[in-house]
Amino acid sequence: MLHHDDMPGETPPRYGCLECHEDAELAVADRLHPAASDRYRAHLRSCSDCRRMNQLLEAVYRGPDPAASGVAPLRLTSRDREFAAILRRVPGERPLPWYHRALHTAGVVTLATTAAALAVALVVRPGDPVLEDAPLAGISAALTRANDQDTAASSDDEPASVAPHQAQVDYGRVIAGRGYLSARGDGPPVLTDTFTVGTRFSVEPTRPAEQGQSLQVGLLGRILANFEPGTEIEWTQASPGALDLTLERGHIAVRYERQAGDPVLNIHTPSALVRVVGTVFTVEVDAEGSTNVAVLRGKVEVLNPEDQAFVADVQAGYRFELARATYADVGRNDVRVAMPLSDEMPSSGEVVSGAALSAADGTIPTSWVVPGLPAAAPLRRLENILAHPAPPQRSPADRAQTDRRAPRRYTGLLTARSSTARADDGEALIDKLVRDTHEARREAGRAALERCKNLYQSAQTRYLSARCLTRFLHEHGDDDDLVEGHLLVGILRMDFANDYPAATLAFERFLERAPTHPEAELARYRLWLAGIEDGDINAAIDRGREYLRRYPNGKYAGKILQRFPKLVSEL
Amino acid sequence: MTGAVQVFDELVAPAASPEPAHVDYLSAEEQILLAQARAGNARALRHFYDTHQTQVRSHLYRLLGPDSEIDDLVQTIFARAFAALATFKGGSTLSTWLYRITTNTTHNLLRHRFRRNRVKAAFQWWVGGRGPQSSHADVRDEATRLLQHLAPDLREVFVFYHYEGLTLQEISQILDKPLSTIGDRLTRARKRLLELVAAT
Repeated sequence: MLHHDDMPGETPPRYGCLECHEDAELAVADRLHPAASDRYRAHLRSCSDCRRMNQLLEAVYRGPDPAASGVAPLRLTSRDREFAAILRRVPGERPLPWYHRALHTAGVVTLATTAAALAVALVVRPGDPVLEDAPLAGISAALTRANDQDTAASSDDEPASVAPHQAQVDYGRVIAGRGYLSARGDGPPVLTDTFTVGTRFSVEPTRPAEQGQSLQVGLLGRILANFEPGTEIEWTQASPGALDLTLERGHIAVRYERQAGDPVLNIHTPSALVRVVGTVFTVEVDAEGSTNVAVLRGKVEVLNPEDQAFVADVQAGYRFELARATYADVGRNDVRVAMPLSDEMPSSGEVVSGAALSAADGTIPTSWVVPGLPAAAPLRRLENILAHPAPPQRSPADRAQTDRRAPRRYTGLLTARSSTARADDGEALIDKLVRDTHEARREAGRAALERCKNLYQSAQTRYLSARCLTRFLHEHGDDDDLVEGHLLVGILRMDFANDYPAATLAFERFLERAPTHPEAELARYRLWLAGIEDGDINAAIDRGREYLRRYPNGKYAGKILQRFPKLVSEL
Repeated sequence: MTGAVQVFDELVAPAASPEPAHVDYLSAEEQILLAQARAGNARALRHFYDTHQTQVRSHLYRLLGPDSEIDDLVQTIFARAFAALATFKGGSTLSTWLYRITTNTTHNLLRHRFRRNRVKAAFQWWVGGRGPQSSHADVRDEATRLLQHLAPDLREVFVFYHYEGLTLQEISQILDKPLSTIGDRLTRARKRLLELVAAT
C-alpha cells in the first residue's frame, strides 16, 4: 500500500491511509464533518488504493439494484404462472416431521373413535357454524379446488386458482350471425347452435353489392367474439389453463372479461401468437398473411409462434402491425369490428334490477381507448373517429340507428278520441274510451316490441336491440301480453353483456309472469345455460332437472342430456 | 367503497369480536384484502401477491445476490404466507409480516451457504494459497461478493437497514430480537464490511 503521509502541501501531515480507513464509513454515509471530509477527499485524490476502497465501500452501501438486474418487475404472464405455482404449493408446505407422522398413524384410530363418540354424544348438526368457521377452511377449500382442477389441466403452467368448470370450458355457443361450422379436418357440419373444441368457423366473404354477415360466438361464458366476413378460424384447444384459437385469415374482435384463474386465451396466426389475459382487442390476418393486432382495452402480448419469444406488448389505443413491426393508433375499422362487443357488463354490485341495466346503443364505451375520440358520450360514435387507413364505412348499426323512427306512442288513443263514440250515456262512453286506450297502448307496445325484434333479427344490429328492449320494458313492462320483452332482454344480457345474474333475473321474471307462454321452454333452457356459463353448476343441475321434468321430449332436452353427465360427474 | 366495507364487516365480524383488530398497522383496503384472502378469495390472494411480489423478490436479490433459487424462494414464501394468513393477527404491517416470513425462510439457507463458502475458501487457501483476488472485477460484483462474506445474522440486519430503509424498531420486530441486539449487529456488520473492503 502506498503511503503519502509526507507529501508536502497536498494534505495535512497526519492524515494518511489509516485515518482514511477510519473515516471511510462516515464519509460514505455522508456523516463526516466538513473539514474532515475535505481532508478525506484530498487524500483520495492522491491515493489509488484508498480510492478503490472508497468506491467499493460506496458500492457495498448502495447495494445491488434489482431493477437494473432484470429481477423485477415480472411480466403479467410470468406472474400468472408463478401465482399458479404458489397455489399448487400451499397445501404441501410445512410437512409433518417423521415423529408426528408416526404419532398420527398410531393415534388415528383412537382419535377417530373418540371423535365419533363425542359427535354422537353432542349430536353435532351438519350446519353448525362452529365447524364451518375453522381457520383456513375457506382458503384450504379454494386451494384444494385449484389444485384438483390444476391436476386435471393438460397445461400445468397456467393459472388455475378458480378455474372454470370443465362443462363451461368444452362448449361454445353461436350467438348471432351466419357462418359455416364444421368439425376439425373437413368433418361433418355442426347443425346446432352449440359447438365443442375442434370446431372450424368459416364466415362467407362479402360479395359486391351485398352486406356480408358477421358471426358472433360465446366461449367459456366470458369470451365474446365477432368474426367478420371472410374469416377462417378454428377452436383448437380448451383446458382450464388455456384456450386456443387458430386464425388463418380474416378479422376478428374479442372481448374477454377474464377473472383470476380463468384460462389464458391464445390466438395463433400464421405469423404470430397473440396472448390475451383479459381485454378487448381485434386480430386481423390480412391478404398477405400478416398479423395486425389492435387493442381497445387492456393489454395484449404478441409472441413468436415458434419459440414463444416475446415480440411486442400492445397497449390500449394502439394497433401493432407485425410485418412492419410498427405501432399506430387504432382505426375506425378496428372499432367497427369490435362494436358488437360494446355492451359491457357493469362492474359488480351495480346490477340490482332490470331497470338499472345498461345496454349498447352504438356508443363506444368510455373504457375503450380510441385516440382522438372525444370523452363526451354523445360524441363517442364510430363516425367521429378521426384517422383511419381504410375508407370510411357506414356500419349496419348506424343504418339501423338512422332508420329508427321515434316511437309513435298513443296514436291509437288519438284515433280513438277523434272517432265518434256513439254511446247512450256518459258511463258507456268512458268505458269505451278506457277500452280503446288500453287497446291503443297495447298496439303501441306491440309496435315497439316489433321494432326491437327487427333489430334483434339481424346479427349486425342484434346487440343494439338491448337498448330498445330496455326502453320498451320501461314503458310497457307491466303488460302481461308483452311479457316476451323480458325473455329477449335476458337473452341479450346473457349473450352480449355476459351478465348472467341480470339474465337470470329476466328469465325468472318472464317465467313467473307467463309460465305457460309458448317461449317458456326456451326461457327454461336459457336459465339452465346461464347457470352453466356463470359457473353455478349446482343451480344449472337443478334447472336442467326442472326442464327435463316439464319437457321430457322438449326441443332442448338433447342438449341438456348431452352435458348432464359431465355436470354431475365433476361436482 | 361502502359496499366493500360492508363486505369486509360481514367477513371479519365473527373473527373480530373476541379480539379487536390492530387497525393502526393496516389500512382499510388491506383489512378488506386480508379478510377476503382468509376466506379463500382467489382474487384477493392474487392482489396480495401482485402487491408484494416485487418487495419479496427485490429483498431476496439484495440478500442473496444473483441467484437461480430466487424464483423458487418467492414461491415458497408466498405459499407459506397464504397458509399462515389465518394466523396473522394484524400486529404489524403486511410488508413487515412478509419480511419476517422471508427471513425465516432464508435464514437456514444463508447459514448453510455461509458455512460452505468458508470451507471452500479455506480449502482453496490450503491448496493454492491466496490467489489473485478479483481486483479486475466490476466494483458492483465485488460489493455483492463481499456481502456474501458477512455472517447471516449481520447480513440480514445490514440489508434491512441500508437497502430496505427500515428502522431499527422495524428490524427488531421482524427478527424478533431486542433493539440493542439489532444495534449491536448493525455496528458489527459495518465494522466487518469495512475490514473486508480494506483487505481487498
